[in-house]
Amino acid sequence: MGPALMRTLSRLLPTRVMKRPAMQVLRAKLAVAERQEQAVIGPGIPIVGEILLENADWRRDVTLLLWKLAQEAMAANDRLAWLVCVGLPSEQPLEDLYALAAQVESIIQLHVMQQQKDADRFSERFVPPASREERRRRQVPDIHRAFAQIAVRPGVFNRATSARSTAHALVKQLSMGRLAVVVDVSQVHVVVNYLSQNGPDRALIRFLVTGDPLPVPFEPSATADMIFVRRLGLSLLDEFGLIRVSDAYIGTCDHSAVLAADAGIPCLLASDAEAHYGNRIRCVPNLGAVSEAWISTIEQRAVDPMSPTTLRTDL
Amino acid sequence: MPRLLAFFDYGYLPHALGDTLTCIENVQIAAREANASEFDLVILAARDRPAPSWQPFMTSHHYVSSVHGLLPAFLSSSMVHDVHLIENRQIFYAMVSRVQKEGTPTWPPVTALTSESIDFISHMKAVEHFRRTGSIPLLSAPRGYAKKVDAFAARFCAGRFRIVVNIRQSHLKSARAQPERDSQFETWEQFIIQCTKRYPDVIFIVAGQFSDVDRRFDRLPSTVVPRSWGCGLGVELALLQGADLFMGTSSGFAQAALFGHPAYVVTNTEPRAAAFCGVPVGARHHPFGRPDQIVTWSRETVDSLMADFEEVLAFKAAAGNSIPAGFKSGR
Repeated sequence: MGPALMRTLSRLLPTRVMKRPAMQVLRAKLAVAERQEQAVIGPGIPIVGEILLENADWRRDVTLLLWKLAQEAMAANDRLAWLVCVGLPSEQPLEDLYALAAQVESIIQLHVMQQQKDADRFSERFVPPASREERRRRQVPDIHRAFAQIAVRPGVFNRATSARSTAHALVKQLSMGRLAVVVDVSQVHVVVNYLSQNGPDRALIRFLVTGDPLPVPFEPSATADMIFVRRLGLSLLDEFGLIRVSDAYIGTCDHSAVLAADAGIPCLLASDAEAHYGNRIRCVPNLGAVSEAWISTIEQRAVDPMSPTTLRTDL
Repeated sequence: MPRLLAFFDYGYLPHALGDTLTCIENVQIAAREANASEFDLVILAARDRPAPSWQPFMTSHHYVSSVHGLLPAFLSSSMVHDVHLIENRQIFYAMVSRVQKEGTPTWPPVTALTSESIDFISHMKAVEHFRRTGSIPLLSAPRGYAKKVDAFAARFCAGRFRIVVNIRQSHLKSARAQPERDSQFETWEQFIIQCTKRYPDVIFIVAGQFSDVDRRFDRLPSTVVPRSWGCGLGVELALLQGADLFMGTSSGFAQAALFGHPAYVVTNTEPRAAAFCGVPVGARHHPFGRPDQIVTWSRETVDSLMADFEEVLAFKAAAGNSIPAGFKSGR
């Protein structure tokens, strides 16, 4: 009855009246009432993911769930995706959650609730039964399984924002025609070793270090080929833009790695076990042992992407 | 106790730090008056209407960065409970209609939401509340930044008298607005140099967006710029609320001090702001301000900054609060 009533009203009333907030409140009220009765998945029924933010890897888990929600939203473009987060982590929760959700082209509504009972109450009021049932079957994917799929599927973290366009310009300025390799601060020792062994003769690469620079004990300005981007005022949102336009990524199996892999960027990641996913994502237990050869392959691909040697050499 | 719901629609609310903080203060007051100990935030930032018409530079391409940059300000209240960040207008209105049906207290009132008329500038709610009750609920350090603040303080501020500074420099922005409200870097440079000679244990912490902070601040004595060390607005607001003193131009960060904890010297307040603040032009304090919280109504000079600084120190000393070594009352 709700949609029928709105259709009747929209025929009788001018558009400017229909657009007024009071009419939109009424329209929303009727739409929610109708959706709450839906026990079957269909157009307008939200795709809902719920996650408990309880451990140190919550950013990774949120990214993986967003990846899953985004895939489903792309496949059903008349359904919006909602992410319900339970618990407010102790470190930069809201900023980082929004920065992650804003990577997805399909709209993601973020609902962050401190306690499970608040999330349950929210679901009863706004989440249709069909979505609740579907949500129960939806789990956070394992990151290695996700990498295996990411390696062969189109990307989902494709939202164009000014943060991305600014990051693109910044990478051009900072790299000045060189390769831009983004490195997570946790692996900065790998870069330091690489630079100390290869020195300033390796003029092809600029390393851009992401993450918190405060704990790093040395003065980064001493190494001109390595730039700590947060010291340039970049935020996590800006770093995500940077990663997506870089030439390679070195880090761990975390949220940034998922975004890099999704963008088709070659990744070298510290992990418990050795694994290859496609010809772009490589996980190794000892980054230091393989990084030089890997970086050389990246360089070679940039210099001569179609040579038989390059095409034969896996990353 | 009921929980209040606060609705923010960036379709007509400005993307501005000061206005966001004023709104959060008004939400705290509304919660207190509704006997609510907590409130939930419902923030709508949607592609169809990303900003009010008087901020034409804020397009559907830009607004994500702006909202992301402002989020720590929303956590500047210990009363915040749940947060809903919404990009779909229908869901926003669904939540409005639900609270209307249930009679849940809201900020602003539902009638203001449906007429899209929210007062985001005026301090009069705070003034009236203070007159009725004798106090206002204070803004707090945003939740989620304690670890970074501790790391920053341990590295740069240990054992120092902390002065957070923010100076309005709109000429450094690409979207320059109201240049008559700007401060001069050279004035503050001379004040900082003189102050650090007189009081060697002070540290000046210069807050502000990366592009808005004159790069010469990085080279001043006893001065550190958090954004040059990977810190963002959340850390800056937390440092401000925990500072010994805030000094700066009347602007966004000054609002955090006005409704917050530290002693302050806020300079160059616009005369037309007097009506919004419930004070006559030239008033030395806001109605809810303490003796060590001073406002001025003209552009600052080196001498006026030093005089106001030492006036605040005298009040702090009389109250037994921490002051720089070497400060003598009645100088």
